[in-house]
Amino acid sequence: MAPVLEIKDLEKRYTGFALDKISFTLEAGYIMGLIGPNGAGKTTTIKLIMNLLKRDGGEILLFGQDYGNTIEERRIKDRIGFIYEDNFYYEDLTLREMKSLIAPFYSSWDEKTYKSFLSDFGLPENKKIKELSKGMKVKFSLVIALSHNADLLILDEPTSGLDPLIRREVLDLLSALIQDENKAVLFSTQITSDLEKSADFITLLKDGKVVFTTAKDSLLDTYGIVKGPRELLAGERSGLFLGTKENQFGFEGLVKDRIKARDLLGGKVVIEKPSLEDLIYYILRN
Amino acid sequence: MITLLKKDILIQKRILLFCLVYVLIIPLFFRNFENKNLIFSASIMIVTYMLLTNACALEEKNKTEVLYNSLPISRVKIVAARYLSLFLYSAVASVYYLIISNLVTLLHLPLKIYPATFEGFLGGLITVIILNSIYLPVFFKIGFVKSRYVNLFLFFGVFFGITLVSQFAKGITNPFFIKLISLFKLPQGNLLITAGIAALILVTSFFISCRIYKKKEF
Repeated sequence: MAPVLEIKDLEKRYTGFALDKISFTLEAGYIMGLIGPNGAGKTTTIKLIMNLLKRDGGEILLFGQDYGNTIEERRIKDRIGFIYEDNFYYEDLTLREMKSLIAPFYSSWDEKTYKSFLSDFGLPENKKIKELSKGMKVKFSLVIALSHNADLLILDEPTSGLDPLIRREVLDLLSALIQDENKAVLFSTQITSDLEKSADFITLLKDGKVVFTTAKDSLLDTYGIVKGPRELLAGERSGLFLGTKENQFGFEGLVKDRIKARDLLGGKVVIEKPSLEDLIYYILRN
Repeated sequence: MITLLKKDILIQKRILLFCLVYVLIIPLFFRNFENKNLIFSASIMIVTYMLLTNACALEEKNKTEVLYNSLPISRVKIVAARYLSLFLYSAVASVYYLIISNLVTLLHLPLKIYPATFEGFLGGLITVIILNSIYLPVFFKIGFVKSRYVNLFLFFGVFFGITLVSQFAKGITNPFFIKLISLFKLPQGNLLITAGIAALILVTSFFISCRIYKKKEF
């Protein structure tokens, strides 16, 4: 079976910014987190995947197909659920009215699932979009995205600005969704703890380039945070670190291979499993 | 396509009522006009202008182009729906005019309003088509905020153009000019030819808009 999403050497050029030949693959049954600082290219990547922007080079394959013509584009988008950071609904319409303007476009719209999610999230159908809180708007977007049996969910910073309780609810729902092994989620965020809870794969973008795209567990199992005296940073050993931070008591740094680091540095240092936030902090700092 | 047209009505529930009031007061502004069809044509023009402008403004305000271009719907259909909405709005204006003109007659209200005629309808529709065939490609290219002045200019250009020409024509006694003006007075046969030309312009405009919109980035 073809991957749900395959991006090869994708390019998009603007004045002052370019998405530079990025590549990654997302298989069915997994959640991939797309992470990076502001301006790294996360939203541009998502807009290119959704065909909202035209690419300057490379390839985007969704379910093994490219957006070739109108019919293929419609078939592909029929299988995608999306949530963007901003709300793109008519603010003066009620949830019922807004749904009635979206549902007819999907071939597999499931009214029963829609009603069930609305009730689970406590969303009143007669309320106007503008009367919803930010969290409720995200929940409504999620309900729409989940009510047409989408095989791929694309979420652009859906949890930014949400309180921890709603963020947790959204993440739990994504994890539950992925129990169906035919579905996949691409999830862009700046909140590393969200990815730590839910993502299987992490793709880190910086300045329009992919820094790494790999399984989260393999990252956390191989990288290490080393703490020790500053004199250890002198000479050849400094090359061992991807990034370091020094203070008056010593240093803290990230190594790519913590077993190798233990062999080289021995008992002079403390080596810990990094958090995703540590890892990204040191890599981006470097 | 029907859902897209339904959207244009649903998002404008409030302004649809306003349009009814406008159709009621339009005859007051045109009471000195001798052309009986002109008030009906003007009503179609004004209501269509208002509804189209409002629909485009709401779309830009709520950024719903991003939503609709993420749904499984082709860009050609989005463009086609915008063009079809012109006929929908013209139909709304015509129904309003029919209601108002019949009410005025039935209730013997002191308002000078002429009955709706086919010529009036066709005249209004042709003007709407020609104006928006110029405007819509510009709208699809640069968006509502930047293009609204183009629309305003076209609308008032035609509107005041007609008014000025009518006023000017009234005062003319020179037989040469009377002959010249009579060339522009369209009998029913000519009106149908004009409608055919307008349809051709509309189709050309639609293909230009499709070409522009297919390349558009959001």
